[in-house]
Amino acid sequence: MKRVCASLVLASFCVFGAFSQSNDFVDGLIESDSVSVGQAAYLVLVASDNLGDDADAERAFEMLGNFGWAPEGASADTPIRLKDYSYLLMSAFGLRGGLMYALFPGPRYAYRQLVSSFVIQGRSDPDMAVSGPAAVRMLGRVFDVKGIAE
Amino acid sequence: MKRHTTSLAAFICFVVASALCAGNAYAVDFGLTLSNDSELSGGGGGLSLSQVDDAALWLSLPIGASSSIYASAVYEFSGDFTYLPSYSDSVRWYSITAGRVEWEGFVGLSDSMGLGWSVGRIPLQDYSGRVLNGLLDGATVRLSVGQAVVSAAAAYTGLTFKDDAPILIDADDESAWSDDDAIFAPRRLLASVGLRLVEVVPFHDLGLDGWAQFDLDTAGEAVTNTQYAEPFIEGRVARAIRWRLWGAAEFGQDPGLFYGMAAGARVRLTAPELAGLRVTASCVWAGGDYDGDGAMRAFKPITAGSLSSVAGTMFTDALGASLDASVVPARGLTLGAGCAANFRPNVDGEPAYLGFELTGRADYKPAGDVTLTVEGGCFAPNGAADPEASVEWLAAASATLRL
Repeated sequence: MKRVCASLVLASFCVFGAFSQSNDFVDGLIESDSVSVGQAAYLVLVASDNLGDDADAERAFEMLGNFGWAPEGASADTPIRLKDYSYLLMSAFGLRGGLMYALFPGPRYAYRQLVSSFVIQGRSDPDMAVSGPAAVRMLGRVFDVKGIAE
Repeated sequence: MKRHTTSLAAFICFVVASALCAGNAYAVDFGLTLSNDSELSGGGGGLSLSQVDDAALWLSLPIGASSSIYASAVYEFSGDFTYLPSYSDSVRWYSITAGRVEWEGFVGLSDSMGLGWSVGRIPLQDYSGRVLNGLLDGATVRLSVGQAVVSAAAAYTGLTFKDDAPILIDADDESAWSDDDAIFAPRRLLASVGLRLVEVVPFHDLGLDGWAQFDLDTAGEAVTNTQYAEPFIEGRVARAIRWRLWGAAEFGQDPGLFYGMAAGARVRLTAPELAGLRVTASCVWAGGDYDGDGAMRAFKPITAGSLSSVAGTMFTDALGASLDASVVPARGLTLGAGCAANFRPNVDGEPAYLGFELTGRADYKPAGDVTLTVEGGCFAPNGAADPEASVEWLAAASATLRL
């Protein structure tokens, strides 16, 4: 458990060191068992400099729609699925995917790519909900992957 | 043309149906893996091509928080084409069988105890991978208590294609291997127990693997049961250097008692800062029938394996020493080269040195779902040990695409 907490704190420093977000948002996110599409959009779009940190989850979700990255049929309050969160991360950070992702960019192959690059670790499936700590850890690993790629 | 299917396809359907009934259909991940392996080889005026193409349809789904099911079915085309000295071919247009079919999980029983399991058609091997190595139908359990890991396994070989589980322990196995009508591996029941003590010595693990195979084919000429005790130690002596040492004692009954011996050692230097340099030196030995009519016989593993990649020297009554190195000069690209020498220690005064092998390999992974590999090598035999032997060579290419 100590190791998990330490990892979480480390990931938080990595992520939140790169940008600043409201403390209330971060507190709510860390305690969340299931991140909503709006929360995920705010977290990722701010971290990737696609959105200012003075916006909110509703505005982030709106931006998601404008970019064409919003999960089909989802609202800002819908719990985001792991494959949709993967696609959001891949798209927002411009990560290079595999051959199949290049041919058919979408949540399915974004999930596969993040599994193969160890951004997603442990037992997982593409339709599972994403907890707040898991979302933050994945975001931290994306910074690592992007750093290696660059 | 041979047409092969196995009842394990039905087992896969059962596993999938069970999973769907359990209400996990929404969580299924699935895909298709396509691969091609082509191998051109020659030597002594011969030239032949071996071609294997397969498509593996797989699915994966979690069962609760602590376990998951993986199931795959494999279609395979294979062909062996001999061009020299005269043309002949042997083509298997298709075989359909189960690939890995596994229900695996892990639960923590307390802060220092955990129980892991794996059931289905699962990868099984002993510590060294020299006694048993294959995808077999069975189950394993692992109980970790503090620094100790206790494991047990059981498996059955009779539903596996004989090419996938090459069992060559007695005369019945040899005749089944050369019989084109025999599709499946000899029927054997396997059982094992193991103990690994993690870092009881600083930076080192100690352990003991025990394996046994029971011959279920009582209608043949021989009924041969064997047991193997395999102690091992592995660890690191510096940040970049890891080593391992193992030995195996084989005890058998057919029904007379006999025994065999094997051992191996490996030292590996890893330097990630030097373009991912990895240098591995290893030595393996499988004892022979050194005492004539005595109880000692040539070591026979449960699944047969070869000593090196070009030469066909089997891991029985042989000794091999090898040195391999690999680097990662660019992202996704791994280049490797190796050399090996094979020997047959004996008490008859015959030349022990069998020959020398050189190999090279390049792996390129341009994307996460594409892998390309080319490799080649040659084996120069010792003419004094076998006057009729000639230089053998091999060139192979493989590609894998995960859809």
